[in-house]
Amino acid sequence: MLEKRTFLWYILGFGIFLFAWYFIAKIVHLPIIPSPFLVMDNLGDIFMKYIAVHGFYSLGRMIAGLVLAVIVGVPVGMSMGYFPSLDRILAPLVYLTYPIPKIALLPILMLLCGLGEVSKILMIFLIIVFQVIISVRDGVKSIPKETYYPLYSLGASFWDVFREILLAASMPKFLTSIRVAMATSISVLFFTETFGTQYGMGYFIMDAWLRVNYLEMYSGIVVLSVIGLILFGIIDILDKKICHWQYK
Amino acid sequence: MIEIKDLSVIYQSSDETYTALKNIQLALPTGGTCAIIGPSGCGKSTLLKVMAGIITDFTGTIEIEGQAVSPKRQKIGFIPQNYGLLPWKNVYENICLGVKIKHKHAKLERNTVEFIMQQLGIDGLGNRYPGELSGGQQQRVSLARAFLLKPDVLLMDEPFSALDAITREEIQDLFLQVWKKHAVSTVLVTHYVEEAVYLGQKIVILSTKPGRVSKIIDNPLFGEPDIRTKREFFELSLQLRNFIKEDWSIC
Repeated sequence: MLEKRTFLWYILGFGIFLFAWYFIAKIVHLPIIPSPFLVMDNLGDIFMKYIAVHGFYSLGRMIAGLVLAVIVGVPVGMSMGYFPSLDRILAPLVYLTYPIPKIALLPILMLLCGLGEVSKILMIFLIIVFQVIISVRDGVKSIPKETYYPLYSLGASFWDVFREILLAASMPKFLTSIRVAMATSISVLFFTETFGTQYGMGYFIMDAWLRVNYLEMYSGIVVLSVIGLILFGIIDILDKKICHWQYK
Repeated sequence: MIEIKDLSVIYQSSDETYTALKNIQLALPTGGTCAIIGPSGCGKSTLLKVMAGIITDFTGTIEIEGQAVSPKRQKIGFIPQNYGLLPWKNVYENICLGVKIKHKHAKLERNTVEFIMQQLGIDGLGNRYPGELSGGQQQRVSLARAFLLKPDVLLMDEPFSALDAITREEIQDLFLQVWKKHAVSTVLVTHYVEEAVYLGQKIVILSTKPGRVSKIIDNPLFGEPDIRTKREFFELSLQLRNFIKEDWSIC
């Protein structure tokens, strides 16, 4: 019942958004802001023909960067949270590098790793990994000491503690961090795809723009947004599935 | 038999040393209960953690049935003040957790678990999560976990102190009732004199700075029916209270 109502609110939100877009397009009446219906029409025509392949490239890079960030970030963050001595050594390093705008490192990455896939994926990895490390670490640190005691007194191994406590306890903060980092990393992905590639939504959008084909450009923007929305939605569903205990 | 000899615990920080426990001597018979009362900061919880094998930096010896305490060797049930339930596991999984950790490959009979849950009056709550339970129910779950494990010793750190007065008495009764069926050696720490008199076969009074045993009493009232309403219960409680007042004011 509640789910259905939430869904209706989203439909309404989407309707309002479309209407606002349509309204602005009508008032401004310039080719740079086409009506959403023209864009949808165009999207229907060219999606399978031109856009899909770019979409898959972008999605692939996004997921590769994300997976890499999780593989590195979760163990590092967890160890930092669980072993105070390790935290003392690594925390300054993480804190000093965290505020560096990673996108500014793109030229260096491109020189070191080439213009191809590696530098793009690494860029996304860099954006996400710090958020993951910090939030997983804080998630583990916020577990009350008493939570461990019943396990310790039974001679639990580190593996037991990891499986029964650390993983679940850090999961909500971990998913939140991914959710936050995702938005930034999609923007960054767009930027990296304007260099050294002929595939990806970034390339497609900028290419359409250069060809002054605004309908195609908007179609690209819509697809990129939908990619973001899908990833966002997947994380939300994961959150509801894995961390349902915290909504009780 | 649980035997503690010459136990001292010293915390060492960078610029000072703090003696939490000094020269504790204690012998507790198997299958009995022992209540430890002490003022805050007297090292009650420290004592319990040492017995649980959580704190390993101490001098002296602790033996259970003649063997040095070790979480790997013995089965030690520990119930912390906040009950130690994992919020991401439902009641059923929480209850089975102890056995799952201790006996990796043992298959748990659903009936056994449900029997214990019934004894503790939490049958039907198996699929709930700790966040959905009242304090009293959470305490019952943690007791179910402990009793299912059939531990060599059960350690409880102020187990009933977060409950309201009525619920507390209810759970104390329930604890005794279930404890009698399982006869698990139990050590509980408390700061309520009445709780100690009601639940402790032996009552150990600790004093503070540093934590020492100042008195051990064999409780003559333990196990008698309805003692809470009897005159002897009040008298013993009062006597203990007066002793404690004097004892703790010296330090």
